Amino acid sequence: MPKRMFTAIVLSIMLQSSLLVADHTYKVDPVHSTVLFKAKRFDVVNVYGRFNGLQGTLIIDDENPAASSVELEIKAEAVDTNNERRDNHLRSPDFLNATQFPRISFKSVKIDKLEGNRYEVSGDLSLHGVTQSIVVEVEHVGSAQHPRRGTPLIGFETTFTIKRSDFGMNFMLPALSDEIQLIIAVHGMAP
Amino acid sequence: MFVLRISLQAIVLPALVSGFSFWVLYRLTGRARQSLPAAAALAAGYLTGHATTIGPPPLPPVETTQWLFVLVALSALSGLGPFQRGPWRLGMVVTLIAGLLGLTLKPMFVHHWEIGEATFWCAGLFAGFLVLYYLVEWLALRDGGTILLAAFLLVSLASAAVLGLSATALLAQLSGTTAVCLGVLFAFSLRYAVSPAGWLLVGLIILTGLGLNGYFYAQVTGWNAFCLLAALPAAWVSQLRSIRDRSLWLRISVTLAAVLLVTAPAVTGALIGFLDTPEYDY
Repeated sequence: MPKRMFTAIVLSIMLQSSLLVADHTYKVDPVHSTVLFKAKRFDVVNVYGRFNGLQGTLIIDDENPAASSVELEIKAEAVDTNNERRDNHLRSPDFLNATQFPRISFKSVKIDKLEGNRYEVSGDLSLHGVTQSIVVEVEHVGSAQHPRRGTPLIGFETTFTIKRSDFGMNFMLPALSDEIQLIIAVHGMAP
Repeated sequence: MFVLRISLQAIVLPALVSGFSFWVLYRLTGRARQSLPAAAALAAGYLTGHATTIGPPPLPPVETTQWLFVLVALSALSGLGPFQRGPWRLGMVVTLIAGLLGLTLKPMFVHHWEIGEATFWCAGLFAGFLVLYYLVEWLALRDGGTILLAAFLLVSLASAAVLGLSATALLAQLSGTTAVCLGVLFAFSLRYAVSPAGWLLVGLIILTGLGLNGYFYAQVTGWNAFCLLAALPAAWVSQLRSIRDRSLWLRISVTLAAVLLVTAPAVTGALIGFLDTPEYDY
């Protein structure tokens, strides 16, 4: 009996430890995450598009933000501007060159906590075969428990601007703006 | 303003550079080395158009079109004396074709193909391009080059149309730039000796390179790409007994008609595909 009890206690401790780790690790939910972009055409109008199917992993350590990390990835071919021919053009060698560079990814290098619910995330953005270091300010939108599964949920959002020429996409400059604004909303679900 | 700038970058400037390079090198090298001016002129015109349209490539190049820039620069060496015939020539041809395939298809090896598929494509394309090269070189040796220049010019124009209708204005511009530079050489060939031993390999590397990029990385269909490259050997029509002793302009006209016959299905096919998809203006 004492032996069974001991085993039960050990198992219980192990389970609790794993739950603690699981609390901090989130899989990106592609259904409720969004990657939007905005470019200016002929200095006249902002054209919007999105990338579908964001994937990745968030490791969040509130007590020690430096131990947190973010890895995100989308397929370049998943670009969607609600016009098939324009999407094909964006996938072509004129812009994303999606067959040559099928993945767009971000990997954090450093995360610092700012005031309130804001974080400063530094990392490497790989796009169009070029990797550039970027620093973005991210807002922690909220955290909750999944109402049915009871697992932790977390949400972040950031808005930042890149220059496509920094990533070797020079075609149609300046008719199509060099500055591309990105709005990324990430919904993380603990497994 | 945008159209004017593109016209300057992709047409006027490459034409001027091409013409000036040919004229200066022709004067400097004399008739004994007449292959170099044409090779250098075509390469210099293309490289100028490439650099002004999308910028010079970084080192090392990242995209396959940037590798094409390097390969075109190297192919200009084919105009130098040792590379005009014999084993050096063969070595140059084999190296450039292998380099073109290896560097252009590298992303396919890395991201998309299994070993069997890669071997199939590489072996097939290598053999195909080698046959294509020797078919046009053989014709060039018999013909002297002017008729072949006209054929290359029409194929590059058709290629520009097909690429532009297949979701890549950038590759279309590069093909248009090539057409302009070939046009300059064609004009020179009517007055000066323009040896095909120089420009032939440069022209073939550019057209096959753009074709590969269009097929594998843009929306050019296999049939359209095949028609464009198969149009070059159509210039053999100029060797038919019934016309081969006729005037130059008649032979050029017949050759262009034959090339047009082979390229027309590609342009028509690309146009139909373009019209089938929803409205979109670059």
